[in-house]
Amino acid sequence: MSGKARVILGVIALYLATLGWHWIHASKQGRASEGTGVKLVVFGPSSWDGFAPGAAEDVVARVTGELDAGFRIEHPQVKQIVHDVRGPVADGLARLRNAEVAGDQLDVVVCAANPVNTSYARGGLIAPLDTLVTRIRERFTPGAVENFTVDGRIWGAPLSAVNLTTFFYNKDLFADVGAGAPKTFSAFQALVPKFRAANVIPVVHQGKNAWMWLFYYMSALAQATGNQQVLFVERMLDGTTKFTDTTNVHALQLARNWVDDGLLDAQSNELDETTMKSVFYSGKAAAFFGDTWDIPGITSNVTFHWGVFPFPQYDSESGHPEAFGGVESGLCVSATTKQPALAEAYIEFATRDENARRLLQPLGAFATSHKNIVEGDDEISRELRTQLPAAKFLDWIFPPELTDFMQRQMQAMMGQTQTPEQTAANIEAKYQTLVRAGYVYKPTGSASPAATK
Amino acid sequence: MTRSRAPYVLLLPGMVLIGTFLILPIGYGFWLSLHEFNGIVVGHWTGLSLYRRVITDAGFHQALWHTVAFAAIVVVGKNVVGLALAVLVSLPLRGVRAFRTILFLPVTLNIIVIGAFWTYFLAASRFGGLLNQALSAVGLQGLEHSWLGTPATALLCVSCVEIWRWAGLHMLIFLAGMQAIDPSLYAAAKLDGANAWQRFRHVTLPQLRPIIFVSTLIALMGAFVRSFDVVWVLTRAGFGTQVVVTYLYSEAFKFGHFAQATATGYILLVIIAIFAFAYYFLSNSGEQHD
Repeated sequence: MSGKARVILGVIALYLATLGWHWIHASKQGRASEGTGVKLVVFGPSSWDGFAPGAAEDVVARVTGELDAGFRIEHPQVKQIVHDVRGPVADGLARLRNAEVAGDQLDVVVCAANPVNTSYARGGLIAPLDTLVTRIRERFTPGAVENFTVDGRIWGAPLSAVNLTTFFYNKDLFADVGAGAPKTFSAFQALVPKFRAANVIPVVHQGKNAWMWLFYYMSALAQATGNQQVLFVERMLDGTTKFTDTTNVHALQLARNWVDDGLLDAQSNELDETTMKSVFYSGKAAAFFGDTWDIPGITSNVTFHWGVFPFPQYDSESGHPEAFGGVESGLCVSATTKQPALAEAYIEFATRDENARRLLQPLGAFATSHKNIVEGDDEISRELRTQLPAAKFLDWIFPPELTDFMQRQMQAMMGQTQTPEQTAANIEAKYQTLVRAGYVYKPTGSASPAATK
Repeated sequence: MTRSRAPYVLLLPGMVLIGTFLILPIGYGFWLSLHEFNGIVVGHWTGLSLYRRVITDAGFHQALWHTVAFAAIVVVGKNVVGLALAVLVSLPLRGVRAFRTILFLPVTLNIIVIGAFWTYFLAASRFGGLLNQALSAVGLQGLEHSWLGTPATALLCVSCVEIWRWAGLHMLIFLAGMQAIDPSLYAAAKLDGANAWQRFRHVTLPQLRPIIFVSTLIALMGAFVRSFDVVWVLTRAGFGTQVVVTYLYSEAFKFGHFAQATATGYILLVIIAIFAFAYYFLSNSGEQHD
């Protein structure tokens, strides 16, 4: 063997030896950390699915550590609590599914309300929590538990800030045209010529994100149905009412009026979230319809006075303006856990007022999942609290295929390339295709809390 | 080792790699498309029912039509623009090397940068869109348009961006081919009194025939299977720009229809193969005829 070959073989041997040493060392560390006693795994499908999401890392670590320490005092058999929280939001479903199918230990799942409604519950990834949540229900704000109710069963214990759909507006620009927050659609519409004269876009929207267009449809449908939008949607989904029903077409037309009447920029379809916000932040647009999750961005980016107001009242409609959203996250039990009682005990412990306060306080929210935990006493928070309770998002009820199709249809309609009638007909055709492919609607079992207000 | 066995033994490592990482996954993927599949667990045998479901889906028809239109524009555009640029940069002009580099730059740009630039460039005037502002500045306000926000123009705009992005690469392919053409052919044509256009038409183009074939094939496959990124960053597959690969993505990752998405992938493979073979035989028959 030549000297060169010996050197190459030596390098390869050294490399393999290093790998082997690393593997043995990692295995030892793993065994040591497992120790003896019970281990509990709190799984976050995405990096957003942890405690105090969005807060600084040291804050998250502190509040999580304090919670776990308190739980271990009550449950001394638990030697280790592992928090496995990572990954992008869009991959959350796949990460949870993969972990369960791979047989990983998962006990508690930090679960966002959206995927609980659209995927987790019906996909068999989490277990029902009716008994526990019914027992501790008085801890939560009205509408919170409904956001985790699917097919008549409760799948999660609410534990998060409240978010809701609302209009954000530039108070200075409104003052320049001699107006305050408009209460009705016609009052808002009357401001259009004044804004135009001032070279200001009255309302801008992130239309490139097709899912955001449904906000307009939901808000219009709520008023067009006298706030019976959930029941109305359920009738469309079980086939009792068609999507081409006059009420639905009327709701689509009400949404479209924002563009036809000059309030909403017809070219909003070109804007994504960042561009839309830069248009608003730079004072080129007077208002946008968004969600309270936009507040941190607005607070840190605008130099003008800003405020919020609810979706305006359509003068012709009997229903009142309704905000959508509510509690956005909670705690669920994994369908594959081998210690469901311990997982439920952890959830019960974490949702106690004193512990929930510790977890929710860093968020500085205007409202939370817990009725005894109210944060924020500023003007914006007080105004937003008047818009509660929020109704359940309707796209949590539609099957995902139909939701996606409706978003595209709304995008085309609001871009003025098709009429509300065509939009309704296309959606009905898609629904019929899904029915032919075997789709059967299962009632969610949760009515809109705002419908009873 | 006998002399006759040696080539096979030498080929073996390469064949094992191709078999493991190419042939096996293709076969396994096809097998999955014949079963229920939730992304992890393989369910029972479904035969060709998923293929039937895809083929009869109106959404797939629409996506396929968009893909064919996109491919038609992009394949012609990349070749015509690429060839024109190659001719241009082959001229003995001052600074032509720098010009070549500039033309190749879009190939090296990240798709996110491309998306951000073109979205901004094509936006409405009041959102800072440069094209619409330029139209307005030269008195063509009537042509101002929501280029990426309306179905009538969105697919065309996406196609143009794709051509802009890859024209530099096709320019290089053609340039390499042109540099391999025997200069004596041009000298002979000149002696025969051929002008520049005639030399291009009767010398350059016929000599570039194999290069055009390769360039077209690359553009064709790119248009069918690598159109996802440009469509996604510009329109998120909205406004009449849903193509088969974005349809496939939605089926798999939005709706969890992994088996249906797998079947869609194989249908796309067959479609590309049909186009590629048809083009191959048409090119060959033309060559034999010549």
